[in-house]
Amino acid sequence: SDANEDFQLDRGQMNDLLQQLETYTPVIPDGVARHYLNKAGVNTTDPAVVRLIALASQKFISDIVNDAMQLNRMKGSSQTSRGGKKEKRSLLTMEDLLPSLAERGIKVKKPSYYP
Amino acid sequence: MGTEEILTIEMASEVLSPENGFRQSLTMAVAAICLECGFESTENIVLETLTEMLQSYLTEVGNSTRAYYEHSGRTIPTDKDVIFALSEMGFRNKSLLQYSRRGKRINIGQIVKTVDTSN
Repeated sequence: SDANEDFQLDRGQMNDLLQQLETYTPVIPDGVARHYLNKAGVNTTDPAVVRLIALASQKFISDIVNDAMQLNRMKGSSQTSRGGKKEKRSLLTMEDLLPSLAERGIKVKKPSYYP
Repeated sequence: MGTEEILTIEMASEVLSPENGFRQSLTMAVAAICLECGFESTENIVLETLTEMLQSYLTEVGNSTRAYYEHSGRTIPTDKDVIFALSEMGFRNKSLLQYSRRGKRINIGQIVKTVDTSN
């Protein structure tokens, strides 16, 4: 569809991205990403494929955490530390994370035994 | 300190197995992402949840990619297969380009250059 076109890379952009991936290291190491891909049955040694997937996965998590960050900021929760002095230490809590997951249709149930 | 941990990764278990190591790498990755987004600490359960999600996502993209290249009679994936798999999962590919160009990047505790052991 037309709406979908706007979000897809065209050929030139695709080449740009692949070129960047040659020098770019995603936070997920190549070996680790390749391990999980192999476990899923993907037979690849192509670093471009591995890094593309690693980068996409990184972005997936990054988007979620970013949303949680926005939420955290909106609440204006600059937690007061025990010393009483106000400091902006940002703690990612499940409370911040849940709405950002729910937005994506992901429901997380906290196991009752979790420490 | 209660439930919070300042980005220290609690080893889920002390058992040395390769699977555990891979999992820990994913946890490190999640921690780096959180740090990059501006969180200095996370609850343990958040770290664990996000690690699980990251693992599922990697596996799912892998499965979807495999479906694409096997369906077209190939045995080795190309980058196009990945792009198709991602867009089928509702991922906006274009955002990757911008994302890979972002200024602030954080790497924690990992090998900067990974050696290709495949051949």
